[in-house]
Amino acid sequence: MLKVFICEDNKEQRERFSKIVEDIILIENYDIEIELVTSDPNELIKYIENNDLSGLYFLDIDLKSEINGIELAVKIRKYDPRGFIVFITTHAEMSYLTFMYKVEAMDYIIKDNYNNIGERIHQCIADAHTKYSAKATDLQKIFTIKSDDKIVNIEYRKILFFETSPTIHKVIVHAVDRHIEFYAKMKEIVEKLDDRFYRCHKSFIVNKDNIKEIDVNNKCIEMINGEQCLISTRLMKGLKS
Amino acid sequence: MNIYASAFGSVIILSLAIINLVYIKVTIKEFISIIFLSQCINIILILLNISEFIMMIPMAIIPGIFIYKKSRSIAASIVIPISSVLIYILVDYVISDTFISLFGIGPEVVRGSNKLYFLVYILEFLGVFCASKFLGSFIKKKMKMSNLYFNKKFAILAITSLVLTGVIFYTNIIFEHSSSLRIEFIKINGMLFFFYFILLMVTIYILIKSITNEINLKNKQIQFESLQEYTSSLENLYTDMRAFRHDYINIISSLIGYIENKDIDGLEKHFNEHIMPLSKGIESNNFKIGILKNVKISEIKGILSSKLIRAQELSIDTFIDIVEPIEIINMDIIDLSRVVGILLDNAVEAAVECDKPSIKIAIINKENSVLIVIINSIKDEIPIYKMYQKGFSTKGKNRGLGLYNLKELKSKYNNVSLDTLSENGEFKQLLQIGRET
Repeated sequence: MLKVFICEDNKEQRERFSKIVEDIILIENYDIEIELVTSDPNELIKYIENNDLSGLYFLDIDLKSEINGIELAVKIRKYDPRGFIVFITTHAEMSYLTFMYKVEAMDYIIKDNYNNIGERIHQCIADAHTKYSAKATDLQKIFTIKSDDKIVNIEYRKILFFETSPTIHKVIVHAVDRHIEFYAKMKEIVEKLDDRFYRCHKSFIVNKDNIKEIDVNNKCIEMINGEQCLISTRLMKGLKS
Repeated sequence: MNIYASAFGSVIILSLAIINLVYIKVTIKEFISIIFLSQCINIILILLNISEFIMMIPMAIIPGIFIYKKSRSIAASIVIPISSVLIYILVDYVISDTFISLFGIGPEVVRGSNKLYFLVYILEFLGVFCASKFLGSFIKKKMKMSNLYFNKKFAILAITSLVLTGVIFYTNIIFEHSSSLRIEFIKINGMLFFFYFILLMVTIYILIKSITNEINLKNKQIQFESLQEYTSSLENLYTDMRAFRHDYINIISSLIGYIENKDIDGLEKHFNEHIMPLSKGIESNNFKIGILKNVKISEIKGILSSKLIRAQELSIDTFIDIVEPIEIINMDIIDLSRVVGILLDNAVEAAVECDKPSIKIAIINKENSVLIVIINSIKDEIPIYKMYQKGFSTKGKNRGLGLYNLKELKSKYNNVSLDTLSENGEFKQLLQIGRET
């Protein structure tokens, strides 16, 4: 079950947020519950340290504590790498890109737009719920790339193929709307994937569902978006069957 | 000694020298096929009874063609084989000279005895291998060859001097072979070649140094100009601020009249009509450039400010988000500037075509890396893979080399990775540079 955490130093706002979240869960009948509402970031850290869970975190940036919301998020990431983090901020300088990319946050909410908050929180919960249930029901369908500093999730159906990079020890994922380079070995990737993927060449793993046609003469595969990948003669048989 | 075997030996030495000198990776398969091809041509030439001097030419041309196919650089494909041939000749002469002066054994004697020939061959092999390895690693370490290959002036000078040296060496060798005083000739030639080659190397080294300096200077100049631009836009900002501060008191006093009359409706109207627009002015683009103060690397500050000022002139809405001081990025500064420049140019070009053009830039210090985020609005979704192909551009022919070059630049670095995605009408490039390689 997805657990909601709220960390906000201002008492009125804290109560208001938790009321909003509670109402949304009730109205939408989500399988979500509020786990912890606090003003103390250390309490939050201690809690997730001792519990293995996946959470949705609403964090105020300015916590009037020794650490701020971003630092708190960095700590949360250590224990809950796949959790959903949403920042609540008044900061006028609007460093929202930094918030987002520093800890792979899902979203941010600006509390200056007082009337808007409810709607934005609703959006975030709905978003997190969809993503979370997609993971829970079929964990296999998302390919997760985890390097030191970033976590990227790509749906299997969007992946066209994997290719070895010109840079040594790296692999590039070619997805419909994305190209990502990361450290990996082709062999390890093959083991992770399901049977819709096929190692069709020393340097390529293709998603069979996204093939448009196979050009036997030129030894290449055309994908649904027109992109091409190579296929070796020896491995062509396996693909046909 | 069998002429086929000796030709084969020469092919191996020469190919190894070339591989040591070349900066691209060569697989064993490619290496073997180069040797095989060269030897085939040698056999044909020997069968046709053509002078062994000419045999060096196909031996140099085949690797030359191979280098050209791989690197697409004419300069490299000429310079490297010729340098290898020169090194080979030089080592050959140095060894002949030593044998003559120490043991009084001439080349004819060496040719006569299989054992001696083999010994000389091994010595030559080691000599050429070490010399080319040393030269190759020297070039790789000391100089940024990729910069030099772009430089036409250097390429032409290097090629002519190398070709000329080759011709001089060869005419001397041919004369020497037909001379009756061969042993003396070899001694003198050996000395001449040696000093000539050293001189040539020193000249080329100085040339490379001066060209590298010139390139650096040019980069510094560009950086200086963009920083100047940055300074002047900061000055404009300051002038605006001063003007605003000057007005500030007037604005406040204008409120007093309404407050004294307790005219709340009038105050509200006045506030909404006259004071709110002022605050919008402050948020306008010009004021954002100041955020670049957190970029402590002046080259990057320069390139960001010049590209962003250009974007603002094109009335693109720019958003800059650099909260923490950015001090170290673990990538060669020239390469990084080029990569960032290419990404920003592309972002500006794509954004300008939109109805509501916008560019967002952020630089974020992460735990083990620095992340540079460049987001631009796009008009139509373009398949990502097409953008990386050489020559592809949404703007017609002779463009689109940017992203291709970017890929080449990036491939040198193990700690740099690029994440490209398009979603919700935005195109995002996330360049991640690891702190450690």
